[in-house]
Amino acid sequence: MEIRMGSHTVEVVLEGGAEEGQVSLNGEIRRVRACSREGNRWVLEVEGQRIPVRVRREGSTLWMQVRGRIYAVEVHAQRTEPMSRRHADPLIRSPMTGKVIRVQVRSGDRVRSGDVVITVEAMKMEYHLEAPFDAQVEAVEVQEGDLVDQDQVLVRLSPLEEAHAPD
Amino acid sequence: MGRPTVLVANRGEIAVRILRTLREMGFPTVAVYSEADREAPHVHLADQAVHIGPAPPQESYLNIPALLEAAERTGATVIHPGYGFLSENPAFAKAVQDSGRIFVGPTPETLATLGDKRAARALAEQEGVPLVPGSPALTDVEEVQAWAERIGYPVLLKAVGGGGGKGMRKVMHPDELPAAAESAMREAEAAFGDPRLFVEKWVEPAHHVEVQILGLPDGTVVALGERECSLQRRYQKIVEESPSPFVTPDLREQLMEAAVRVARAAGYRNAGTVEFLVDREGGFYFMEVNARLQVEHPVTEMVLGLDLVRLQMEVALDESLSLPSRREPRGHAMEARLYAEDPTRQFLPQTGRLIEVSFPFRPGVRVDHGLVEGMEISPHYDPLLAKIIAWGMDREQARRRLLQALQETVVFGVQTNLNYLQDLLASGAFRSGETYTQTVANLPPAAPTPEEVVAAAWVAWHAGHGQSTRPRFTENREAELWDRLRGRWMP
Repeated sequence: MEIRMGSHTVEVVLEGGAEEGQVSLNGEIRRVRACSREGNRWVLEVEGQRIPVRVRREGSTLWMQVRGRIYAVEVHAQRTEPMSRRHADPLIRSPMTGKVIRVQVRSGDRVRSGDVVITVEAMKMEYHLEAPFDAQVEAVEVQEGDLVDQDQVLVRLSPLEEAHAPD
Repeated sequence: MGRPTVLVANRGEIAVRILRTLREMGFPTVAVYSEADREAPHVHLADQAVHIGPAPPQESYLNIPALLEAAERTGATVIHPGYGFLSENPAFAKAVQDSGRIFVGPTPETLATLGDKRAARALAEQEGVPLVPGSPALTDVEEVQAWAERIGYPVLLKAVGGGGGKGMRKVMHPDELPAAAESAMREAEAAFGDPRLFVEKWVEPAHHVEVQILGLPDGTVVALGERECSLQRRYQKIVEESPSPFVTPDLREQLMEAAVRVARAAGYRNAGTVEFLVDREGGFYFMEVNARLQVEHPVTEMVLGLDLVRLQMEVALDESLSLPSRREPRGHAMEARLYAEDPTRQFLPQTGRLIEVSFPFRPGVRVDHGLVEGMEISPHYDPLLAKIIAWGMDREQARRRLLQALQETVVFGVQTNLNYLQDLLASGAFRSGETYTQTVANLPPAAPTPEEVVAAAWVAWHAGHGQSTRPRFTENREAELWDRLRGRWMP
């Protein structure tokens, strides 16, 4: 994956799941552990260093505050990178207790990575939950107006790239 | 008899800051806004708001008839000009007075005298205040060359008609002079309509130290401490502090005394700042007077426990003054200016929409800004977004608090100099107080560390569930706005 932070561009290779893994940068491998994640705020541990990250998406840019420093981040992932499909969650879950205010998809629809599939409102804020990869909507478990709990499964997806898997 | 209505002829952070004090003092307030500022916070924080024109400053914030008409329409009898724009414009001050209103600032005569750099220098010289060796206003390159020889290289060429770095050239060597002078004259003509230059001795290394003054209704002038403003880039200030870590009590006394002498000679009234250049040996030289409230005034307020805008209003309306009896600074205060600019791209000003803004709320930390999420940063105005100020019992505590506050500041959507400010405050030169006017030029912006890259990559990869949030205001919009614009005041 190519990552651009401000005017710096580097190649990195990521391995592992959402909780734990490693990142290779300039030939050096660093272990990563996700200590916590609350909405847009993450706390990671990179080789023992505690690094809080706050993120906000704006189109194709991810604005991040990384250990106090702010970067406009862009990533370009290779299509053949297997990590995302194998480890991204095909279940779209509610981030907190709230109400479903819009369902953008129906069972059978095809969506692209980044498409909003469902919108949940909680604490006067709207959460637009996106498909983490190109997918087919297997099932929509809720409807507009439903009250939902944190982590409740809202939409089930199945990855669309089986046919292109290199291994 | 109610309080007079006050119109704030400005925008952005300073408009918010002024409105805050006016509200506290019980004045009915009027805000003015250009087309680009329809949704700006300062508009919603005044009792009345008047649209004064399209975005370009010439048609709005510099539009004297429009401003006077706004005052007429709203019944405003007092006008506070803030800083920049028309704050030092003698024609505006006079127009305000001629309309029967009060201008919060010096008299038109004082503004005219001090606005002319040559006249200001002549006044200082008359008062026996040392000047940076310099020439009178010169009109051709040969004269410039002759004076440069006389004064001795290196020299600084400056425009007679104005500041802000325009028409300024540093010349190290006689060979460079003709080209530099021609270029400076062209720039000065374009910026001020006046190509004249004057030549000054280049003092290096130098500290930029300025004295806060307040001219009282009875004609006396008080000096309210000094500020150190040496961290600059292209003559634009970035970090300021008070007291100056370099100035000894003896030098402070001399600077304040010299500042008061010049101000009194100019018949100075209301708030202003006298700027000096101080060399390594403690020799000081008068530079100019800024006849207005300055951007960096909060650091003075924090160490002296006063409100300069309040004092400005009290002087303007001849009310009893809230001057503290003790004038010794307490502790140390530092201010960092957050600009919408990209240090990795020659500090080019940036525009865009702010998608997230968050400032820390901590002991000893004050933030002056006029930002809300969703607002557009326009190319029409100064790219100053916010001032982050920290007070500490000593300089090191102030520095650490300010650095931490910057590390807890979030601005998403527009590139800023935030990372660069952190680099400056963490630098060895700054920590030791070695803040000469050349310091900033030597510090390149730091690249992200490997751990930061790894963390960013990790989050970028796994943020696929992308929770995009759109905050919405609660019912009590005004209270929420004041809350978002909170600035903490130190004792």
